[in-house]
Amino acid sequence: MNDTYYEFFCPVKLIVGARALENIPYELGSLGARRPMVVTDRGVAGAGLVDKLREILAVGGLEIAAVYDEVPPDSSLAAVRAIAQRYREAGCDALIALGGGSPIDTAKAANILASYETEDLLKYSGAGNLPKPLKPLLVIPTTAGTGSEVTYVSIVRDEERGVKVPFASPFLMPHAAVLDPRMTLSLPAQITAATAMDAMTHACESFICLAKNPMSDAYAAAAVRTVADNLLKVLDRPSDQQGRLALAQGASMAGIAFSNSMVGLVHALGHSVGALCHIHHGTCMSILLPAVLEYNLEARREAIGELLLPLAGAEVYADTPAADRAAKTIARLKWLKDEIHARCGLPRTLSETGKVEKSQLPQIAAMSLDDGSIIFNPVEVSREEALAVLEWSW
Amino acid sequence: MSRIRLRLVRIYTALMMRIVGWGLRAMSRVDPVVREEAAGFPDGMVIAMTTMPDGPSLVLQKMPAGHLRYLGGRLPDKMDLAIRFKHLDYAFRVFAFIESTPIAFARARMVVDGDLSAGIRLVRCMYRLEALLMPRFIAARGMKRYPADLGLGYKLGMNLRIYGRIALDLATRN
Repeated sequence: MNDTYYEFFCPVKLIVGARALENIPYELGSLGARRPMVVTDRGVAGAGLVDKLREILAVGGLEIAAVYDEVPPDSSLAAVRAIAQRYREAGCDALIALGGGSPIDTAKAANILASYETEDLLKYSGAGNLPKPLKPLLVIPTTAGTGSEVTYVSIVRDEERGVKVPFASPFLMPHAAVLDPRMTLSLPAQITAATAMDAMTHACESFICLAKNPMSDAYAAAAVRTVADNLLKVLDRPSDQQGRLALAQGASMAGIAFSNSMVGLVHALGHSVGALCHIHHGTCMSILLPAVLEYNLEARREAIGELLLPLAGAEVYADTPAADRAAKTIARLKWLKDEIHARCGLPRTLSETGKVEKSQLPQIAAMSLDDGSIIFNPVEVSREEALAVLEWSW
Repeated sequence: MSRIRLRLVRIYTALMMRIVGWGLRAMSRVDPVVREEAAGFPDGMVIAMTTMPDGPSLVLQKMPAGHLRYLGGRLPDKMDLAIRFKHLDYAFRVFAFIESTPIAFARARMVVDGDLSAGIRLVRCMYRLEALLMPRFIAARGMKRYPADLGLGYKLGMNLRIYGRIALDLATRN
């Protein structure tokens, strides 16, 4: 009996390319919105991107009604509440998230409070607990990695309880994601590399984990190819607008892939490393990806081998015997890490970060076993095995 | 689905939910692995596994002493963690070992309301229950990997203790 079953969903409109920002006034107008509020962080505002956006929208006849530029790096419930309050005070009718994963997730959560006119955010936490559609939300990513612009999830830190609160609902999906190369041009080299490797990890994990399906595979393979073809070029020439745009598209493709097939052990370990040692998520992904692929090798040899084609190109793929392709994929990712390190110093190992003590590894391994991603990993992971993967990455 | 088959599926699923409830209650006292996992749930946490819209359910509560208490099959008003199968057939396929728990998760057969980490912990408890109480060839179908270190002698010894504890709990209406 054919037992195939999967679900795939992505209704986010993608507005991509040169002068994409100029389309926002029309886009918001078609959603019935006239007074958007911009949600961002200080780094993005300091880089002048809010001013640039304001200028472009003004020419299109759209005035930004309010700006919140104090989103912290890991988001926060306090920021979500402050945004909702300012949204109401300024009489806003739409949100524009401008930034990386944190401003995007924060804006998604703030949209719940703004749309439902409530103060109680936590009653909507968990999966499928939003009862009706939200106000228009447009997302302008300024990093190319998280994929949050195309996912139905928002994760917000509850600073009082010291936990991260997840929200998952189709209503959280942005109405549109605007990928404009001008918005990622100022991204520093190391963040460019870390976020791109985050996208690479989303794609690789979605391609090998338990919920993989033909649709997510297509997006994942395209994402791997796009990131592999463009990352080093962009690091060599940061002003390469086409390369930047390609990375942004790769991140969105990877986002569509993983939000429909989930991620596995790299993320389970990475979340714990990030939480305990405060290392950038993309850096954790870059460090851990090859070791986790090695761990999953026997269970997913064929799928990992298939990744060689988008990762290294047709010539390398054709020259490599089928039995050796999986090992070559892993070797290629290690080579990519070395090349990135040579260009911008992105750490290749946990020890190179200078933020992890070896004595912390058992705690990281234990914490990873309770991470939600781990159930989608193709191999059941014991504490000892999680520790071994961390030690391989040391 | 014929009416008779539907009835049988419902009875089987309800029976398996009850066995899981009894089993986890007993194992949280006599099996070191489940005892350690159960200790990780917050005290008083109410954990439910249920079938939409109103199918068979099981409800457990973490007691301050560390073990799990089986509250039966009636859902309380307030639950801290609820794993809800979207359809009776999905629950049946998991409890009949036709579809493994991780594959059921991957296919979005159920939704998790509440702390996902606690949900993962509950799944590990269920793996352990399956590994100890079921013959290897059946249990292996329900999980990603059957534990390599689970010898037959140890398994039979634990079986005696778990079933003994279940019998004691039932006899004393614990």
